[in-house]
Amino acid sequence: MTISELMFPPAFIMIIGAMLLPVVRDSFRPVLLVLVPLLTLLMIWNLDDGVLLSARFLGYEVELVEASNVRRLFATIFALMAMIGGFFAFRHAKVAELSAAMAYAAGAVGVSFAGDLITLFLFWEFMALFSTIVVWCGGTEEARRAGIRYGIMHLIGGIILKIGIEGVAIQTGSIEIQALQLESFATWMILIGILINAAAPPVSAWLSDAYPEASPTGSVFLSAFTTKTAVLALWLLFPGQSVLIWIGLYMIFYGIIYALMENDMRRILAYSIVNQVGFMVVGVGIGTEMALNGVAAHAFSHIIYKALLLMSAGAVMVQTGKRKCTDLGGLYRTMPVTAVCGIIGALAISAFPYTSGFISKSMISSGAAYEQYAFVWYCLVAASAGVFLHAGIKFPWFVFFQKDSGLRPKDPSWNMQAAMIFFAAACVLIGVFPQILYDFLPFEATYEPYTADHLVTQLQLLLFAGLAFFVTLPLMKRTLTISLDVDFFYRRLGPILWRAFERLVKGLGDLLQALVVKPSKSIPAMLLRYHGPEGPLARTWPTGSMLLWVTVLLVVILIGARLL
Amino acid sequence: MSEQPDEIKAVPGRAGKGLVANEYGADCPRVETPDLVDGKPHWLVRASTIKILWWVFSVILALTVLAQIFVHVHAYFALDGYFGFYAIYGFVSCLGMVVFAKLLGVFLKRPDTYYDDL
Repeated sequence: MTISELMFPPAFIMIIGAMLLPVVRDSFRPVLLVLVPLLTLLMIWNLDDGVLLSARFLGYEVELVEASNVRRLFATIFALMAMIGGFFAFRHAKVAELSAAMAYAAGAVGVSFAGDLITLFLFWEFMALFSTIVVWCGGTEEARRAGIRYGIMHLIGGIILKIGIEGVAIQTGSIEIQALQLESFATWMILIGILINAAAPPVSAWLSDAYPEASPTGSVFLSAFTTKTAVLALWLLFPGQSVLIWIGLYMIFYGIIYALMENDMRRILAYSIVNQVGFMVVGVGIGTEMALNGVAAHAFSHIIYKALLLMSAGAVMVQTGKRKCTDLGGLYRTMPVTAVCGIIGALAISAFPYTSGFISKSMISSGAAYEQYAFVWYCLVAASAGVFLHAGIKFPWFVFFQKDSGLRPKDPSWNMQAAMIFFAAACVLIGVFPQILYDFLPFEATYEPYTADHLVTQLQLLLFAGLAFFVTLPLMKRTLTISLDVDFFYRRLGPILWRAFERLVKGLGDLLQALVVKPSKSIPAMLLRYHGPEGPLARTWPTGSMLLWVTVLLVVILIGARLL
Repeated sequence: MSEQPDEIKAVPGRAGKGLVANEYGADCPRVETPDLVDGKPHWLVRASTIKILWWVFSVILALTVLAQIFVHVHAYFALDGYFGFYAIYGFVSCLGMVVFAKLLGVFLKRPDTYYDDL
């Protein structure tokens, strides 16, 4: 038996793990949650480059496993996320959530190694399915509704993607995953299908609608997989498509502005996912080796610090039951571990020196600078300051500091603390020793983040952004509000129009009833009254009564004749 | 705490059973006079501490700008070579974003029960 005959997609390990999770003993579940992603990692790192497993499917040669640097990097962070996320969640999450999250991660790993569009599509839909279940595991009525909206959005995205894939398959005869040109309807459909998963405009709202309704542990998983597999798909299929630069810039500023208006701590973080994915989409749009390296590095560090931020928010929610900034504040006193880990995550997302964001995000802005994209570069620098504003300071400030809420929760359970500390350490480690990450980047990395020049400018930028935060603090007074977004159309306007339509139909029905149905009912009733079995014109008359009438008739005739 | 239902208690530690959303924080302690610890404000929130923090912060801000005297900043474009560019640009763009968000909020903000009462 050769190696290739033994080959199977690494995702299968986690799918089997997901199936085992509900049936094993409670005490064995944490072991499984760590062991399964670990085995997956082992397999990922033993895959050679190139197509490793192919099969015939519907007349096409599908490549179930194709490995390369960038695919391995994304799969690694997905598996790592499943492991640490599972460890964070196992004492609080429902078994259904743990199992669905494992399957969801398996889908992400499957997409990472998909060598053709059909395999990509299958794992893509697999992710849509199980991520919807993770949203539903929020267990509330809001989660149920948000899950339905989320599911519909991703199924629509899936259909658009499938239309594109079929078009490409028919036009070119190839379903290979390779850089595509945006010159046909089909390739545009593929791009749109992928961008829906990346929470690109105009449908960015699905993300901040669904993720914050999941359980405190569920939103940790959700933050990692869907948008980042979309980034990988863009990386592989559409590098250097300049339209992505503008889409990405919109996402960056959309995320900042909406996060600044938001009151719910997990929704602030959800908006900042859109913001961070925006940086990656811009990087793919720039498309140079430097920028693409930056995208891969940034996706890797982003998954870690964003999960860390959502873990600290989740810990706060589990311990206090509160999720609005207006209800929180002052938690640094009794939740020091959560606060410190949350702050490290916040610094990392802001690309503060010696954190992971610093060494990855700057590659994307440098990518813009080296290509002389002046406008893009100025936007990215302003946005970096804006990230510090909306996520770097706003999140920790309103949750852990600001006006004391009087809440005195303890730090969460040991496993939650351990998961947070692990990811916080990873943020710092990658920040201090960037070579750890650079060695695994798809292209030869010759980027040096720690120059005196870069340190000084970044500190100036961030610290003065911090000054702006505290100067404008009165403007940022939290309000018990949400902000309208495109979801208004299907959450509010849609139902309103539907109800108006219902009323219209009912009114027409009533009119029809009055004008047509009632008369049409009264005609048979009249016929029945006069001609029915009991009707005066149809009933059988007794002989006596006939005789009576004949007599009456005779009398009338006689009298008539007499009178005339 | 009064809005928390007390008949169901949270059971953290029982693997896999899961918590119902309204059980989170069911036993979270709360103090009535949050601003005072043993009759005094916590050291971090005292007016004197905050004053010191503002001074320290201002000195650090000044240092990051002054550092540009010793460190040559490589400029890619027209403006970014100017002394203190990043400080001014960071401050002004953040101010712009906050004000923009505030103005946009006038049109877009709704009570957070907006989608509930349908």
